[in-house]
Formats: sequence, C-alpha cells, structure tokens
Amino acid sequence: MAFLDIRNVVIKGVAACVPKAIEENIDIINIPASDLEKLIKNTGVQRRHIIAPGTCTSDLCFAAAEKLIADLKWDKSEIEGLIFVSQTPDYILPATSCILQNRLGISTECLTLDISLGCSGFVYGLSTIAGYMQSGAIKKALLLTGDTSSMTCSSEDKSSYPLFGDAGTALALEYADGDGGIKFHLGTDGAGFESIIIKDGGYRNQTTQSSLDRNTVSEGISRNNLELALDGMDVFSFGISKAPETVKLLIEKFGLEKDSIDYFYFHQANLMMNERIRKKLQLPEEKAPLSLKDFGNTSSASIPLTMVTQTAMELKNGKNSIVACGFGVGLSWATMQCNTENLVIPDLLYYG
Amino acid sequence: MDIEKFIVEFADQYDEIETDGFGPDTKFKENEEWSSMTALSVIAMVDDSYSVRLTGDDVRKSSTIQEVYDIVASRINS
Amino acid sequence: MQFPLHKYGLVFRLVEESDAAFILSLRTDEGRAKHLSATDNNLQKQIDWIRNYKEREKAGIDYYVLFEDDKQQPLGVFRLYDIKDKSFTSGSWLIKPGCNEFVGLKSDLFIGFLAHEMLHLDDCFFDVRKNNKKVLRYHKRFAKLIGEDELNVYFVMDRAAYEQKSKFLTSIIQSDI
Repeated sequence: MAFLDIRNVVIKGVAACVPKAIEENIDIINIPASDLEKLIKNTGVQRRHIIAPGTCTSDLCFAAAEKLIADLKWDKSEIEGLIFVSQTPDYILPATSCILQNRLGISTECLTLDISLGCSGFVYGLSTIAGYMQSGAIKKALLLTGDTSSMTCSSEDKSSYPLFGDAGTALALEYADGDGGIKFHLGTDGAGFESIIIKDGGYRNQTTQSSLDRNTVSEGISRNNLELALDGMDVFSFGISKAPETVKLLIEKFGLEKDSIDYFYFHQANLMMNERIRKKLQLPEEKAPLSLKDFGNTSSASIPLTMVTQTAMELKNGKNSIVACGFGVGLSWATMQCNTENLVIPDLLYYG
Repeated sequence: MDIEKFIVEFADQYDEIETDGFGPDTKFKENEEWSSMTALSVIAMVDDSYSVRLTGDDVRKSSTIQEVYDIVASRINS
Repeated sequence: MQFPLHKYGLVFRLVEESDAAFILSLRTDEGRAKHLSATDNNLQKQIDWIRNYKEREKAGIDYYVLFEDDKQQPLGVFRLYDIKDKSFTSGSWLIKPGCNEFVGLKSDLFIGFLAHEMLHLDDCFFDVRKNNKKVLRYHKRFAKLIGEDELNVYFVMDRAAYEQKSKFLTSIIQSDI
C-alpha cells in the first residue's frame, strides 16, 4: 500500500484567494426555487465565489503566493520548487507551473510541475513536493492548488452548478533537518473515472461541433460534453466509504493517537457527505471545520481554504497536529498528517 | 524610562474605576473597565509618549503593568 | 460589492431578519448600549426595523453589518448609513460581552475598509456622546473635531485621516491577520 513517511519537511504558511464576486445559490435562475432550498440544505453551500471569464486559477494562486512570500519575508531567489495542482490550467500546453515561475519572479533554477488532480490534489501535490525536498537539495518550495470549477459546470445542471466555487491557494514548505515530517496514505481507483468527467476536449474525444450540443440528462440537468458531468450517487458512496477508510489506515499504520489530532481537514465535497464522514470517524464538529457554506466545493483548494478561513487563529498561534484528507475525481484519494507551529497565514485574499 | 511615570500614564487610560492603587504588579485586565477601548488607549499612549508600537499580541500576552513596561523599555532605543 | 467578506479573521455580512434576537440582546444590555438611543425590548419591532432597513440597503444608502467569528458565532454589529454624495456616517456599534479585546478594533477597521475601499466614500461625519470618554479620546486621535453641543461631540474624518488610522490599527493587529 502506498504509505509514505517523508522526513525533514515542514509547512511554514498557507494563503488562499477567491474571486470577489459571489453568487448566492438562492438566486440561481435556471433551477426551480423549491429544488434550490433543498439543495442548499443538503449540500450546505449557500454561496460561491465565481471567477470572471478571462481570469484563471493561476491568477488566484499567483495572488495567494505573492502575499504569502511577502508575509514570510522569503527571498524569491531561494525558492527552488513549484508545483501547480489544477484541472483548470491556463492552456492545454505549456504547463501553467512554468508560467507561474516566471510570473512570480522565481529563479530559473527552480523545478516546476503541473499535476492534474482535483479533490485529492492538495494532499497528492504535498506528497510530491515533500518528496522532492526531503533530501535537503531544495530548501524552500511552493505548492499552488486550485480550480475554477464554475467555468466547467453547466448553469442548467442542478447536480453540479450550485456546488462548485472557485479558489486558488498557496502553501509554503521548508526543509528542516532532523525536524518535522509528513505522513501519507495515497490511493487510486480508475474504475470510477467516469463518475466525475468532462467527456470532450481531450484527445480521446476531441472537440467537435457536437461537443456543444446540449443534452438533457434528466429534469434540471442539462449540459454539453465540454461541461462537467458528476454522478452524485457514485461519488457519494465512494466518499463516505473511502475517506474514513484512508484516515483510519493512516492512523493505524503510523500508530497515531486520534484524540491528539487537533484538526481533520476534509475535502469539502458537500455537507451530507462531510457529515457522514465525520460521524463515521466519531469526530466532534469542532475538529472537522467546514468552509462549504460561503465557498462551496473548491476542488484542490478546499483543504487550504478551510485552514485559512476557519482555523487561522489556532494555526497561527501555537502547535497543532493536523490531518488532511482529499477524495474525489479520478477516483483518487489521499490523506496526510503533520505537525504545524505558528504558521504564517495572511487574511483571505479577494481577487478582482 | 521611569516605571512610576509609566504607571500614572497607564492609569490615565481608565475613566471609570479607581486607579490610585495601581502599581507594577497590577493585573490591568482584571477589572470591570478593561475592554478593547482601554487596550487601544494604552497602545495609543505608548505610541504618543514613547514612540513605541505595541501590537495586539503584546497586550494579549501581558497581564501586569510591569510586563508592558518591559516590552516598551526593550524597544525604546532599538 | 458582495458579502460575506472574510477579513481580519472575522466574517462580515449584512444583517438579516433572523438576526433580530441577537441584535436585541445587544441593544437591551444596559451596560453595552448606554451610549445608543433606547430600544424597546420587542422582537417584532426589531424584525420590522430590519425589514425596513433592507429597503434602504437595496437603495445603497444604509449598510447594517454583522460580524461573526470563524465558528459562525455572531459577535457584534455596526451600521454605515446616511450615505449621500461621498459622505456617510457610522454608528450603532455593539459588541457581545466577553469578546477578544481586538474584535472591536477589527470591526472599526472594517468600517473604514467598507466605506473607503469598497464604496469609495470620502468623508465620515459622526458624533460621540460626551460622557463616552474613552471612545471620544479614541476618535480625537484620528478625526477632526467640528463642533459640539450639550450632549455630543461632532467629528469628520476624511480619506487621508482614514488612511492614517487604518495604518495604525493594522500595525497593531498585524499578528492576527
């Protein structure tokens, strides 16, 4: 099984940025009001921050990274690694991480990499960058994660549109000799690849005229093949079984004391799912913070966004043992545990 | 810098309670009047009289006047 | 301009009818509200008041803001009103007893941010009761005194004064934001 025990790497700070514009779910016009009320209750999503066309995930991550670097008083020339996790890149190619290296004014002596993952992407990206850093060759690195899922959903699809919000985040990591470390459990089940999918626009099904045809799947669900298709049932049953399982496996494998963990940051899928997961693991509400209400499901940004908006005070002042667990599109899942101390966390940033 | 003078200046930021008994060991938050406004008044007084910028953290972590005095004294010429 | 806004570790949003009970509990707390105009201890009246206010909110002349901590517990309220041309006034500022002592400062910072950065207003005209000594001293530090009568002292704060104040207050809570 894919367990990793990476040493000598610590998280120093985290920042998050959302578009300024908010869409209130209760005001969505293409979905009947009675459906909306039920949706809001079940998903726990009251509003979402929505990006303006022409703006990208990388713009949000850029703003978060700039502020975080400034607050950490990092010298940019010391940053030698940058990973960008997103499924809404600037271009099909080149990789957005290359563009971000230049835009952030980071040295050309910096490795960059794009990772195409969503809900599990933050933890996966963390494992990748921590793996690069553990030998000490790289002392400072950035993990940028996020998505602008609002651009990929059909506004006439009640199964996805009211759920997803946009956000970009930045996480700063440092090499710490003999200190710190992050433990991981990572997994994949590609049998479920169609549970969350955008069917056309890649090279299996290239974009054609028919990609834009609007298909009514069922009442309240109408979309084309360039828009996200989400099989809610599949994802629900996957999430409520896999998320508690991977957390349990990590705890057992590394002999962690569940009660000594201060916060469990779960990917913010939807309230029903997150509540079920929390109860299965018998965690008190205050240990499993939620950012769904004001931000929705923000894909790979959901975990750092929750850290910033729900627990900044606690993470900035003192020591914490934290677990983060992402699960979803792929299907893919990942859990990590690490200790943090006096993190640098700028106030939530608003873009636009 | 003089602690006696500092205590008088510190006590001046209170308007409602009796401050005659204020001394270095006075726990300045343990009274009915202490509030964000008093905290801000103290920060403003220190800024005006000593050109030292206290932070919210400094105030949060202090409980006696002496402790605040020590922070101010340590920054006064730095 | 859109709420809620997460800033300074707090969440700022517009008041809704469902906040009536919380606001009433603040306004009828004798110690807290002694410097504000009197309020009947009547929930329905408070709800009606908020309903009327919502019309002024739509017109863009009145913003009644509630702030919460990150656990979604309401902590206090303030109002930004009489918005005309580029001027406004602020008041009805109340904070729940027992809050962290810098919540007040953060909400005051937010008033300035909302008025000057989001609504692009310039001059804030406001008055403070003469017996509210500490608040008086606080405002004298940043705002310009323009008059007084038996009951109140009248101030104006322009954009330059706001910027100076904002800088000072931000430096104090630096470690929190």
